[in-house]
Amino acid sequence: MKIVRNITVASLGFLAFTAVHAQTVQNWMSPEVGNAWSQGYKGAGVTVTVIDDFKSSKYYIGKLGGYTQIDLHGNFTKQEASLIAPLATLRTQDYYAGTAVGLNPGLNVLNLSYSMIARAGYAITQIGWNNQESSIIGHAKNGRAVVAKAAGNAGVVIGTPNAAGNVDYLGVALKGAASAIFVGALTTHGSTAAPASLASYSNRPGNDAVVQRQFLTVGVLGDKTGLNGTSFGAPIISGYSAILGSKFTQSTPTQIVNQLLNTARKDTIAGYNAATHGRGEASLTRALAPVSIQ
Amino acid sequence: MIFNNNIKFVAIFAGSIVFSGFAIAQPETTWRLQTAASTHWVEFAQGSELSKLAASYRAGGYETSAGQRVSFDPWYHPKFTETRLTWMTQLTPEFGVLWGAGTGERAQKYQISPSLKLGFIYQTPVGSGAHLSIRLTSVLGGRMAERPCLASYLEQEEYANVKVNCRLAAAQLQPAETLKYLTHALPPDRNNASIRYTVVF
Repeated sequence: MKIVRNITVASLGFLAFTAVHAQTVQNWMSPEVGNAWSQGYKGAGVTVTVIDDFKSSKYYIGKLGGYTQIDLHGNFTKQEASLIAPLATLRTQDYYAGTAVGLNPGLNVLNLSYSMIARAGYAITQIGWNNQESSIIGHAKNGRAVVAKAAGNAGVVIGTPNAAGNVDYLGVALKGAASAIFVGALTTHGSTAAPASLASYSNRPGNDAVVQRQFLTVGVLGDKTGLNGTSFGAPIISGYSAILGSKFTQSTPTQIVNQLLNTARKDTIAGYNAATHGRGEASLTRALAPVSIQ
Repeated sequence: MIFNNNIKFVAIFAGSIVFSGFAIAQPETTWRLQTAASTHWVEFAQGSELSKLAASYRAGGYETSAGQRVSFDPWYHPKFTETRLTWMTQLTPEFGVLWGAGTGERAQKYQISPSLKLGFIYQTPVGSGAHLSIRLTSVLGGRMAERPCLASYLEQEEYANVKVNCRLAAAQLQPAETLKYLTHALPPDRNNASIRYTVVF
């Protein structure tokens, strides 16, 4: 059996120049991010570990920080998470490292903008995980870290074969894990006036109620960043988790995940249905808000 | 008494009011204190700087995690707006005592306590048709105190009915941190000094 690590970018952008980036709300971010930043807490005290491609020679062109840059996939996903939660501690681990992913004190968020693909037909128990993925799956199942997993860009139901007959077994392994979220991509940020649609490339939860319960969507504005794909949805959820973790310092990773899932909006999605959109569109504003107040 | 909170210097050249090309001199007596040992009602004001601040909070709001609109208006809408009345008791032709009171203001989430105003006014001629008057006042009380809300988050025991700043409950601040931003303020005009120079011509 051959398992291939695959990053999940749907398209590329164009070349330009480097400039400085600051803690500013970028044009690809949900307006809710700026609203949430207004009181100063931006992910402080939370560690976001980005497991991704930091060593290959495969470069992408994108524009996340207000300037165009050529960089590795991992540097883009890391940058995206840090732009959403600028005060979070960012760590990186190359996805070929193979070593167990350690956790820092406080809330940990693991960003997985990659898949582990192999031919369809294997049982999950047949997959021989290395220390890296074993630790990630363990952290997710035991609720030790928020795990934001890109849903994948094959336009299929999670856990089913893509057009080439391959399955993302990392996704399969994370099904039902207590603190794992699958992140799908919407074409834009939704609103009740202009609801968003799932991007054609985005994988979806399908009829499996377990996956539906842990599937969340966010707007991935590739037209502004040059970077499409659920790879760039997962860091948004990682950043949101960090922001929530900096507010709710006594919450466990599972509670943070549940807060994001429970407060997702269905009314900002065109033709919402659970098989396509899972819990709906993540709403940072609602996730930060109280359930009740008097 | 501290006089440097709000110092005004007003020089007024009264009487130069022009109507259709001719001048009318304003009577000199306008700026003179009248008879001794009489009391005059000199000020009526509804609303204060603090009640304006509280009113500014009314415009805010947010949604709960379930999407229900929470408006600040009912929390910061007083049934009665603070009213201040001031009288002057004239003791000599040059000297008078200012005294008064403010009713305070109360809404669900804040209170402005009642206040007393004390001060004096002194006026002296400084030349032909010119007067200098000095007025010093101080307000006792009138403090605004904002009350916290009880909020629940995440359906989690640790965050059930926690005290928060009502206005910041949905912000990124930790719930306990929001309490630092509750408004506890004294009236900004609590100490007031003014000097007025008047020339009548």
